[in-house]
Amino acid sequence: MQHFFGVLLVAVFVFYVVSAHGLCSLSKEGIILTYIIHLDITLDQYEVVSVDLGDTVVKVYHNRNIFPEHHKRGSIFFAHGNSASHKVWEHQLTDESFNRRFNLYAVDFPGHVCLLLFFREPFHF
Amino acid sequence: MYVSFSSSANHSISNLRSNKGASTFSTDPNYRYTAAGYAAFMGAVVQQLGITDCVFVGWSLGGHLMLESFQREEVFRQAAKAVVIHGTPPITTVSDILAGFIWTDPAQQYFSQAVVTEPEATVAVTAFFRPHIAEHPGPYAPIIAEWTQQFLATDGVARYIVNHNPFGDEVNTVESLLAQSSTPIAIFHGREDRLINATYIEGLVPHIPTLWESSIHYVESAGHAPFWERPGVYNELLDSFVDTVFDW
Repeated sequence: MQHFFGVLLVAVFVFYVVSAHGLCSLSKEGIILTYIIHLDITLDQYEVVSVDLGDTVVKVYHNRNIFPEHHKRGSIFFAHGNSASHKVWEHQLTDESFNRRFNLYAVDFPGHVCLLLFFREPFHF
Repeated sequence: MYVSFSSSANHSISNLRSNKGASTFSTDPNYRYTAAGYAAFMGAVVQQLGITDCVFVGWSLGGHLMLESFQREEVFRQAAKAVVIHGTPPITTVSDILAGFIWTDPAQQYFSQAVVTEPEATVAVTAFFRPHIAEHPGPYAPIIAEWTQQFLATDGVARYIVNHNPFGDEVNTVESLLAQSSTPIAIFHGREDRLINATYIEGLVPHIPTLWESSIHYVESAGHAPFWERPGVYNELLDSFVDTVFDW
């Protein structure tokens, strides 16, 4: 019996710690375990490449300098939606697993200005 | 239909808004903000950055532009290992446009409006998420506020042209492209997407032979932006598809 309560206590503690870090959450469907979002990779680490099209200059963001020692298997290119920017892909662009294995690119379309001066706190569900 | 906007006026807005870290407004909006203009831009990006063996992932308008780029740009097709679209009903005709989107949602009107107020932009952005978020934004409030500012910072001319005259005088052939292509394609979709008619997309499934697992992959408890509402589930799904593609 003592062991049972001990294990239960440890389980509650682990759940609390993990949920506090945004790795799992309670929902209508029960406990949802989410992918680990490694906040140590940030969009600031992305190399910004300018592509001049004559009538407009677009910015492309590339993870060239993140895990440069890793052999990248291929590329994933993210294209945002209407009136948005590359920042909508934050959870994908900062994913450690993707960064280790792939060249990641994201773009701001012509006419779509990313608000780089807009800061906010890290966001968790 | 030809939409006339003053290049010089647009250019001055561009100078006002642009900075070192941001894409700029186009001085040739009547071309650049059409499907052909965006596709040419994607072709140039792929070429200049030397992108190869790539899975192109497009959300909503981005999904349409990935399909248009695939259709129009040889350099894009050469680089494309696969294409992923979500929140994107592939469209060819005007009737497709009517069927593919949920036009009864009040937010739809703002996605093609050149000038929007902040409350209108907020309504539009809130529609990216599940329906109940409009009533109870809760933890979504900060991201809605940020994306609203992003919406307002976008060139309204781009919003207007790409939604009113995306194809110019050309005939769009996306559906036949999907039917004939040998490139793998995946379609993801937020189960509670307010803006896109999933039934319409379901109707296209039998006509896309290279569709991953011959089905749409739904993300539960997510609206139009599943990559943000359910990043763990979404990343896992994308990871599975990408793994499949590189072993294809």
